[in-house]
Amino acid sequence: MIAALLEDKHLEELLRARVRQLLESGQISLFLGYERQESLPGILPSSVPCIIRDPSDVARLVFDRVCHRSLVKYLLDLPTGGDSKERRAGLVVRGCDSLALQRLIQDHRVSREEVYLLGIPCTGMVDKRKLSKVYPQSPSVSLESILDDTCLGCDTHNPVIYDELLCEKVSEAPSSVVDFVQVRRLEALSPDERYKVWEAEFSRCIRCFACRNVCPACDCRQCTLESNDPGWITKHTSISEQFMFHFIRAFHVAGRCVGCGECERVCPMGINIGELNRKFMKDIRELFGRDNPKMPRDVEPLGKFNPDDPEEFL
Amino acid sequence: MSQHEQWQPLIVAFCCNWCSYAGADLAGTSRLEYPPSIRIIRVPCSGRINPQFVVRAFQRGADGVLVAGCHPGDCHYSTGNFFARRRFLLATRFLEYLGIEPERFEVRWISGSEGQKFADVVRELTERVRKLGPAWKLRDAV
Repeated sequence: MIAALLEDKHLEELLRARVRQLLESGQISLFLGYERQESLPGILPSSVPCIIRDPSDVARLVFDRVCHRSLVKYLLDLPTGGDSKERRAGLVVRGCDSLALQRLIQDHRVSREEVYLLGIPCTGMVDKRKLSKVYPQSPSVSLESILDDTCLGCDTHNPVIYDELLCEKVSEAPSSVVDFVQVRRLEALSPDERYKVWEAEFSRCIRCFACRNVCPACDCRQCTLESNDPGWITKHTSISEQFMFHFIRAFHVAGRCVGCGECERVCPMGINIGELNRKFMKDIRELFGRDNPKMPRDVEPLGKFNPDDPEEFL
Repeated sequence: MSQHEQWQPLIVAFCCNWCSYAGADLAGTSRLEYPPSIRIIRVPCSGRINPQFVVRAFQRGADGVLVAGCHPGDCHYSTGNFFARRRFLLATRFLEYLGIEPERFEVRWISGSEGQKFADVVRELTERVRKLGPAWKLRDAV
């Protein structure tokens, strides 16, 4: 049954017990986790982020395969100042979350001492769009068939930073992201055809900024997209402005994107923003060699150079 | 003369102050001939050129865009053009990925003594863009 595919009761119990201990001992002052959203029978199950401050509330915590939202960006909204120990936050991190958190730490937006990380090796989250096609009646559905595409291509199942792991590490299967199938398909088209593809995608954009808000690489204190001077974009939704918006967003995370796929999942209009990020990922690997995003202090590719970089402009 | 031959493309060039702008100057003082299609915007360094400038130029009427800076190793600020090189290796590919014809956008290193090269680059770029016709992609619909 689908419910059994989605849940892991044992892991949930472990999580609740550990969070209770941490809160009671005062090691953390709050915990960022997920809780089950009330849903009617036949409606898709959903887990939403929640903040637990009281140890008696830990029963609300869940962890299953529909915990989509990454929690790390919420850290930026927590109050700052004062003793960092007193406002230490705990949170669960999967592989992609840990890369995202590392990005915030590298950008000095979060300090490592401020967070206590419960690592959960993750074997993938479920794609809600795929799930909705088989839910609730599902005699035989394989987990593989409803997993999120980003998770299917994941090469970082295990968290790269954590304070403790809640379960055994899983083996890192060879990633299919390196194939960049969609990017290559688009590259094979003519410029006019490609323009039509992106025109169709971008014209659906409602400029809700959800992709920016959710992105761990988009962590500037002041965003150029909200600036009136220089006003790179206005409130027009002409196709020209849409191209500019997506150009700016994609270029600003080039070499910084951790490939978590949150921007694609969060987009209410289903725009395949990820193919822009993956294009940069592919080119950076081809031109400058592969950076190891798992290294904690690696400078981003556009923040450094090599005198022997490819020369095409002579 | 057909209408297409009469049409003069508009090329926006971002030239670094220390090399490429001096190269353009040399082309002028040497009385070298090149098409009047070009509008030069002088910037302190090729490292100053944000790829958004290129998109903005296409939005506001450019048919082609040239980015020019000092040769790697010659930068007045030592390393600005090395950063620019990485940035524009990606930007050229990304603009192409979005559907802009690669012929419309060019990055070249032009030193202060390369007046002839400046004139040649402008002539070649202008001819390529002329063959493609007016740019309409990314254009502001005003």
